[in-house]
Amino acid sequence: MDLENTKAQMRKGILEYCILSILSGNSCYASDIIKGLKEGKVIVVEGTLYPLLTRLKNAGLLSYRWEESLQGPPRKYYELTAEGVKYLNELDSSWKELVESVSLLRKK
Amino acid sequence: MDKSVKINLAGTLFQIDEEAYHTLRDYLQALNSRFKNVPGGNETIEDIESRISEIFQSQGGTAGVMTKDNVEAMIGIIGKPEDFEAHEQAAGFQSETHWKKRLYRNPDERIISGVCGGIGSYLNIDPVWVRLIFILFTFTAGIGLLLYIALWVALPVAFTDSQKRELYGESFNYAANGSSDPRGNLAANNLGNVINEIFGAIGKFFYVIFRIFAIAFGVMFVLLGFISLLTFFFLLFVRNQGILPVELHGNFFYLPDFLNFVVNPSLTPWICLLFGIVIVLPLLAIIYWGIKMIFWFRSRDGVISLIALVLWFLSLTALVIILAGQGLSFSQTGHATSAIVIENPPDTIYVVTSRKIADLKYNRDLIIPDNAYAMYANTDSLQLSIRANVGYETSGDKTARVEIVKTSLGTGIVDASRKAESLPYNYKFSHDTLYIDEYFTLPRDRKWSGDEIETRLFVPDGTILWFEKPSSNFSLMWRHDDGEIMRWEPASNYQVVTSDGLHSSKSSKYKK
Repeated sequence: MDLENTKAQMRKGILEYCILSILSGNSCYASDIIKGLKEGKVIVVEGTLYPLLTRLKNAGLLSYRWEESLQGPPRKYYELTAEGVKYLNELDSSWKELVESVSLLRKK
Repeated sequence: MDKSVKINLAGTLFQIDEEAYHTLRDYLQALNSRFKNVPGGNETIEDIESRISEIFQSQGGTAGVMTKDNVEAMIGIIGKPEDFEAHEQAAGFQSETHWKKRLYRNPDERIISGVCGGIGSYLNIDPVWVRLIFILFTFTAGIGLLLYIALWVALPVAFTDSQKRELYGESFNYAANGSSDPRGNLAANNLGNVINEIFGAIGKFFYVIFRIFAIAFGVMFVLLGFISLLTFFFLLFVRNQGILPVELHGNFFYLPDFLNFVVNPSLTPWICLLFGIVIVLPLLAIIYWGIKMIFWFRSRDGVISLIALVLWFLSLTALVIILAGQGLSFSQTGHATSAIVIENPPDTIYVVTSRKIADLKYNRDLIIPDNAYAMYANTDSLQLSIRANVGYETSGDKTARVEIVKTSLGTGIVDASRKAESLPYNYKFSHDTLYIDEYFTLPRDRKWSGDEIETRLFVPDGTILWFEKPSSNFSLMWRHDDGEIMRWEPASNYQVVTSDGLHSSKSSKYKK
């Protein structure tokens, strides 16, 4: 059994949940999200984030607006759509259930 | 490394040395092949490029030259495409997203326009069968052809991956799409290939024919547009006579001057401008369409077309409002008729003109082709004179009379009749002679409103008429009994009035 692989699979499973959580209540630019994900040790390289953002956006969970930046090109600021908030709430409760199930199992 | 290259990343220019350039290029190519077939892949690539640009700026700024170390550090941050992990398979967004199937024209299966290819892809069958069905139905009163053209016009082309995904439905294979030939799996189907090639040739043939027609129409449009435009400009702005055919008499060049007599002179430039827009915009559009048909290019002209259309419509509306505001409504015709009964009609009636056009002082004349209507303007004294007409009819009995019919246009019959009545005109019948003017001049406070004056002589059959020779295009009209008016120029001064018309007569029965 490959421990690293199992860990990676677990991280991968919650990556979208993490992105939506970071964006909950505030709009962020890609680097802010990356900073958050890196602090949480959920991703290793930045490149992982971009295709995910595109996909979440195309699924209607995120939207973005352009903002001029003093250094460099204009930045995309992402935020949750109403659908995204609903999606996140469902993930929240499903996460709680998961944690409860695991801790319940651990107590036995 | 002494050689360096300039590159543009997300809108920022970077100086980069050759070695670093090769590394960067390989990295970008790897990204490209990783994402190009993923829905929204282009956007992902753009996002990453803009991040690269940001990292480069934080590293060395645009002033310095980027080195291989910089590029490698950047790759370390963003990671290689193979390190991005295969979320596509894990996340399963695609299968969860509801893809609605939609019909598009398929550019990858195109022979003429991709209509059949699109239907084939949509139904997941070889387009060759769709083509056969269309051909078959073309022989039934052309229904197939009509349907084909309608679909060609109505269906959009599936350009993007997501559109193709909608077109193909579940069978769409991102990896197989693009560079590889989607018809490759038909290699074994020889019949299909042969028919496809035949259709390909027919399609090319029709396309060439179509293009020839399009170019011919395009050239016609451009020429038509240019000639009309030139004519328009010559008419209104280049007051140079002699370019136009003689019938036009070269007098349309003074249209703006005549406009002063129709509306308040301060409005004339505005009316000319609006009128210019109303005329010129459609001509420009025709020229543009022509050019587009000749060169067959795609352009984003929707916004400009819309602006032009709105501008045209506004100009037209403004023009109508201004003209209406000037009381320039010519919807109704009004007449004012006065008559003189000639007691004991003489055998010969003499028609003599008192005020002659030849003596009129004018510097602008406008003569409507065929001499039907003539106006003479004096732009210094601001007076407009209009030629009067004269006509004859047999009275059908032994009586004779002269009728002076004044006609004007106006907003209503009452308004028009009042205008007609106010037209000044001198006429007198004395003994055996009718004295009339060759023209009438509008009162100074009166704008032009299609005013006309016609003197009509009703005389017994066989009466001889003597005319003074008109001084200048004085119009002589003869009215048939069926009401048709004909222009007629007398060959000699003496004319006999008969029910068949006027005939030359050598002399009067009596000496004058």
